[in-house]
Amino acid sequence: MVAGILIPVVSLTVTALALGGCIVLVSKKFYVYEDPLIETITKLLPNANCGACGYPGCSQFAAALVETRNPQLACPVGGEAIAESIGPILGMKLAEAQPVVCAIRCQGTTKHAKETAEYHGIMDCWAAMQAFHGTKLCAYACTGLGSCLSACNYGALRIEDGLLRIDGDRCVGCGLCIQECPVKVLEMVPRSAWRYYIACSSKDKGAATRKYCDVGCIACKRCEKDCPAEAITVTDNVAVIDQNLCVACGVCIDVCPTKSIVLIHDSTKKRISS
Amino acid sequence: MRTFNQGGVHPPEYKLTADLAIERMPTPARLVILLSQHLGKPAKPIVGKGDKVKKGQLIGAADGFISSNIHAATSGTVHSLEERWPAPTGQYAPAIVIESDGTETWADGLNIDEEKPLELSREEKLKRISDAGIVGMGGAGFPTHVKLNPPKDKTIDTFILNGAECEPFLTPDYRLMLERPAEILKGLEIAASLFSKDTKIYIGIEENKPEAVKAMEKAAQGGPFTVVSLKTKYPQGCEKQLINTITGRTMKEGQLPFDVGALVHNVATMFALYEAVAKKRPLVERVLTLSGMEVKNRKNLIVTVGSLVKDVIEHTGGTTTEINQVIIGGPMMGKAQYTCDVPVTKTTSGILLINNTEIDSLRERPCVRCGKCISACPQGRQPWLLADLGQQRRLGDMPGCGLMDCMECGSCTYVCPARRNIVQWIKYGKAVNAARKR
Repeated sequence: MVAGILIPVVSLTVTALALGGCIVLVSKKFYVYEDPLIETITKLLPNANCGACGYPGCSQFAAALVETRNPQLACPVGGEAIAESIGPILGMKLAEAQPVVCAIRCQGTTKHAKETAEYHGIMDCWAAMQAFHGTKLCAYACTGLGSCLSACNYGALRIEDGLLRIDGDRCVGCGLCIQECPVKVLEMVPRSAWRYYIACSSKDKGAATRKYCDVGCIACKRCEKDCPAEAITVTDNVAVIDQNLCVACGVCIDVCPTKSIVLIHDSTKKRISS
Repeated sequence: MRTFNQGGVHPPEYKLTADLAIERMPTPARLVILLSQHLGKPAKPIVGKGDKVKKGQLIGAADGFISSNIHAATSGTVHSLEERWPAPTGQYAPAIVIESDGTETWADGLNIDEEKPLELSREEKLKRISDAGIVGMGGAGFPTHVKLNPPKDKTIDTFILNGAECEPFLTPDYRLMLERPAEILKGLEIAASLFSKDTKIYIGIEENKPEAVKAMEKAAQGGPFTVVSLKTKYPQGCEKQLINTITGRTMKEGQLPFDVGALVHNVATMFALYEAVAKKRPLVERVLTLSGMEVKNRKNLIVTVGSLVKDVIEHTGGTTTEINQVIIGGPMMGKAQYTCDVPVTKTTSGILLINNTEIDSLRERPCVRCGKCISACPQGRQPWLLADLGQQRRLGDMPGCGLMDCMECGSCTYVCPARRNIVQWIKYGKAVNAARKR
């Protein structure tokens, strides 16, 4: 009776000890050192794994940071706050990723942009590009079919009146939407409290742009002339604001005859952090 | 009766214009000549606004290896250079607008009569073909001088004239074969003379065109040609299928016709090639069919390249009811246009006018797994799978399932009982994959 209990208990204990010993040996033998810093830093990162930094996810970014100690590596989503919290851990000053936000350089809603015909094809921008750039006459206009929507992990994009709208509070500036756009109408602009940008990317001549759209940049150069900071230049029939020079005075908006310059006032400066 | 080994469909033929002789449409007062009427890079404009041009004068020079020359299709003045004009391919292309002076004076050295075009040197023949801007007129617009000059390590033993014309409605090649068989065969002989003497020359014509078979057989008597009557099946006119029908060889994915030792040329191309070599006439006009159930006067017309589609419709007297869709090309592979301001190009084989009642606008429904698209696919692929991958945006997986093997014939979409936009999804996948590669 006692033997009946003892035999299995003893044999199982011996087997368990032996196997446990094996595990200890194997874990010693095949031990891979991982810097504990990697885990600490990963925890501080936004952990959205958006890939905007160029690495597959946040832990790979942390590993690269610890391994290379390159102060130029930066998390575009976390920006200043993240750089400040990670810097002391590594004992160095990290570069701040300039926080950016997505902007659409088009205002061609169904009301403003002239349309060609009804589109019955596949509701996807890339498919519409095969059929005269979708329904809008302007070749530089947002087709409004929303191929970019699925690229956004933050729900910052939506389609309204045949045009893409961006929720600046939700956008983290990862830039994944840019490569989904066949028209190349999306652009990253610095996330400042008062942002001005030209909401048109038409390289057509002024007369043609006017024919296709009410709110297109016709390259009249009035903004270029009147900008006190000399931040605006007109190249290829479209104005571009150099965001580093812009002082956010708003003169350009007043002179623009087609109202193609847009101001976004961002009071929150909200940002994703850990 | 010969036909290709797998797949294919047989849509109703609607060859409504088969019995109508080719007529010439007068050149309109204003021509819009696209600089991109071929595969490859658009030609570079070499004339400016206000320049006087003569008929056949070079106005756009080929830019790069795969490109083609563009010529003034009439004499007159360059009215303007447009950067962006709707092209029948569904894209925008640069164009040169010419105001005709009504005299149609040929440029110097053109429109001659060469006594013995066959005896010209190989280089001279190729030069004349390339100078004249000859491109494949069946629809793709591949520059013919490039096709006729395959890499040195490829041997060509079979030359095929494509008279299949398997698209419904279209009849320009059929009428050409009836009315100008001798010229077509001369063109074919000139093209084949660029290769070794043993090259076999086949003429493939579908059996639904017995008159054309007869006409070509009569003209081919005593020549080095074999006329082959083919079983009527779409897409017999695709070069992969025609090569399979006639030689039994199959082209693997990524292979070009010269990889299997064959070259296929369209009837209209060979006619244009004859005119280019023997008469030094650049490709400035072509035969096309204007058809549709509601068209008042359906016609086979010789139209000057650059005439607008609206000019052609006006010339024939319009339609009996309002038209909702204008398709350039045939109903299977043609493209719907949003405006009648698109010009006729070298590759425009037909203009099809369609009324609202003829458009089947049923909603796309889920796949019912019937497998009809697989039986219809002439490439032996699984169209439903490609469409599914496209719909789920798994575009990176598409090339592994034969994406580039598809030539967009539309047989799968034609047979699909669930009205799925199969070929459209495939085209979409191709477009995105091509953009990602860049």
